[in-house]
Amino acid sequence: MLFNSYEFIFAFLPITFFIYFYLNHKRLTEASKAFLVFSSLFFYSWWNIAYLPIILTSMLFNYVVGTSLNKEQEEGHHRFSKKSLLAFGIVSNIALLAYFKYMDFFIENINLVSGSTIDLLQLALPLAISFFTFQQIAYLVDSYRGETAEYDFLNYSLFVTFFPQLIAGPIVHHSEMMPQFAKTRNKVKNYRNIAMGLFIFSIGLFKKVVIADTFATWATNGFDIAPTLNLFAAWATSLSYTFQLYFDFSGYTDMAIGIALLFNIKLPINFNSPYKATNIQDFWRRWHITLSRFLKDYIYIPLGGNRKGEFRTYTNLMATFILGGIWHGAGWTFMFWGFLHGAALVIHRAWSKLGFKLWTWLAWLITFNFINIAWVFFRAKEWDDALKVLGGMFSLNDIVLSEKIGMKLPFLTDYSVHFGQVTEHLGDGSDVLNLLLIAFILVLFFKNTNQKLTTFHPNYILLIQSSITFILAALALNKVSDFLYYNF
Amino acid sequence: MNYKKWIQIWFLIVSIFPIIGILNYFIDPYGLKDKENKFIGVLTDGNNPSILNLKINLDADYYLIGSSRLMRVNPLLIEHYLENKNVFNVNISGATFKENFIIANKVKANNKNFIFGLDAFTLNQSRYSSGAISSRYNTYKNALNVNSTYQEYLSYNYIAATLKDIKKRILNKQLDEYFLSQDNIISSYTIDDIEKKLDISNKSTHKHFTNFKLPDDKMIIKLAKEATKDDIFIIYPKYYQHYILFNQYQNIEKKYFQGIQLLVTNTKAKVWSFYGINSITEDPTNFDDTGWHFKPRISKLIFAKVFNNTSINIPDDFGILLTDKNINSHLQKITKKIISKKN
Repeated sequence: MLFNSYEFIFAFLPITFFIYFYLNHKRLTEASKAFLVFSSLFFYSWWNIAYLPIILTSMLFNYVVGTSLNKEQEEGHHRFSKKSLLAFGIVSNIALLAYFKYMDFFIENINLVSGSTIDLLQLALPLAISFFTFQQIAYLVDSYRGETAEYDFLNYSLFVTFFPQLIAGPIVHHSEMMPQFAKTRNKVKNYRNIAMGLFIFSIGLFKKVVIADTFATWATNGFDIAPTLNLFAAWATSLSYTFQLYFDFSGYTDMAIGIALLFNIKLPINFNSPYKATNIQDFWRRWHITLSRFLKDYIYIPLGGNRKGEFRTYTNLMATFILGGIWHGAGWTFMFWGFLHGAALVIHRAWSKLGFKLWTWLAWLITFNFINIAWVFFRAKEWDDALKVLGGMFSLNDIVLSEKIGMKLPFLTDYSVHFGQVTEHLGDGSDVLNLLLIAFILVLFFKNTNQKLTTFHPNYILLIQSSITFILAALALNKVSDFLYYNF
Repeated sequence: MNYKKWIQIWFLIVSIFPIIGILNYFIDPYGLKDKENKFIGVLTDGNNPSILNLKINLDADYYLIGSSRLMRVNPLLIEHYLENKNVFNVNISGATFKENFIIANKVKANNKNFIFGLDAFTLNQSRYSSGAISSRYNTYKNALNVNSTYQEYLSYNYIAATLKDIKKRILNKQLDEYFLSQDNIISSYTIDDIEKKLDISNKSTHKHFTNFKLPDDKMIIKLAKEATKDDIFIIYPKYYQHYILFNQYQNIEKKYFQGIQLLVTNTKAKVWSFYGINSITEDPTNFDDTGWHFKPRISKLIFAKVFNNTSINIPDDFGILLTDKNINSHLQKITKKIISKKN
């Protein structure tokens, strides 16, 4: 079930909300929790019930391993067996992920290198597997470190399956979720949270179905359909994807945060105006914050972080980001995207050490363009698609200007300039350029939803803004579209 | 304002949303419930993928599939001939064969019938080198995959059409204003004007009219075989000077005729042709300003011929039912006449 669907907004969500608080009102708190778990599993199974046993098995397995690790901690058993248990838990989780997500990629490359013809498994990727696997690996590691309390299975199940964050995050940490599920005050309807939830959900829905889905059409046309792209069409294509991804994923996150607030649960923020970043390190403090947190706490720091000298710091950064790239998808383009970001962080660190400083506007320009170019590899289905878009972006041999300009400056044809549709293959040129301009203004000069939420007060301006935003978004719900991060 | 009041007013405002759906349902600008007393321009406009899909999902009896020529055909006219049948116009302006093909496939999958319009440039596969055409095809394909109906009543497109409908009624516009405006177009053009505007000499960069290439035979045969005896194919008329240009450039006429032959010899459906030089196609006043589209009043003659309405006076040389027996001689006759006219 998609957040941006009639069945979710007008059926699933209100029914779940009312039954959950009704059960709590009747002081059936365990039943209310069980109901929320059941609803979340129903929500998950809506796509394909075949995935249900996978998440249930994974959940049960990790709970048993995590609890065992916790008990071993308390009972002071031998450290070796604890380590083995943790290793077993992590390897099992990674094996599950690898089997579904990376096996075909692995076979393809074996076939390519050895010339063999091993058949691909062509398995459908179970929804949210990357998210719930990471979340549970974190739980195992923390259990090993003795940082988890003894949770009962119902609470643990709710932590893993809580439907607002189940499919595409934010990647939550047990330490920030479990106390909230336990708090008695959270079992009573809270009008402040409901108002804030409706507010942020409406904005998220608008971001997704009105803004992101409009950019999606142009990005798809540019990346997947157009045989070639002229200079401006190529830039419009890459920028369309850059904005599509941000509005899609941050829209999803806003909706998730809003829905969770209806249930008095505060999810961590995932975005903090990432395209305002003036360096790559700043970008990763603002983009997919919960993933960055996971990568830092469970990969970068265990690898040694910056504690083992400069060279090891650089290799740790590279390794962390290449793994981050692979986490997003099984493909060389994802890996290369991770490599680019890792390399950029290494360069930024070395640059900062030398004490150089840039003008803020220049730092922003370089950072934004780097991110935009790197997204080309992230989006492209094949290397050729990426090269097509980048070729167009950096080739001066195919410049198309509008016919209006052609009538005023016809001599430009002497310089290989053509006149016609500037954003050929994408869509209406003025629409593309206008929305790109609006998107730039929105991401650079407006407060983000998180900032708006922290200053939220019930007034008429926000009321009109939020309700109109909701209606406008709801009028676009007839176009079904997945969230980009559902694929990862 | 307290939080509770804020939430209450929020829900009050948002309750406009279902009211929009109810308003759309009752105003019914697209004539989905009833085509009487509706603006003809809206009934004949199929250029909206989701509304087009909604019409198909509503399971009418007949669908008018084709290109912009069908914007001159009132579905009520067809309903008049096919008594007690519901007819929807699902044309796409500048349609490609592939687009019409997927629409026809869905209609036939629902066991419904079509009246399928053929046109030379609808068949030109080279048009897909235009990104806009490829992307439009994908848009229609995606829209046709949606099987539910109710959500369309809650869309921007629908509320926009409803508001336009209300506005036109307030301004007291005539229901057939679109057809009147089309019928009143003053046609004054020469063959040079046509050639200049369309430029089918294959020298231009206009992707619609260059490198004429028929779709794969398999597609044409599949469509032909899918059609039943209750389906109809119609080759709509153009101003005759276009036929001269088709004969002159890119082998369009020859290729187009091959496609028609393939269709006629493989189908159980009726195939009506209004192509060629005849007393209707020779008269420029029967067509719009480039002779590319017939005027709405000609649609009455076309369907009177198709449905054998003898109360309407139709020139004898206008329209013929093609069969595998007469197809070759008929096409040869057309070519001969075009060549003699050209010379």
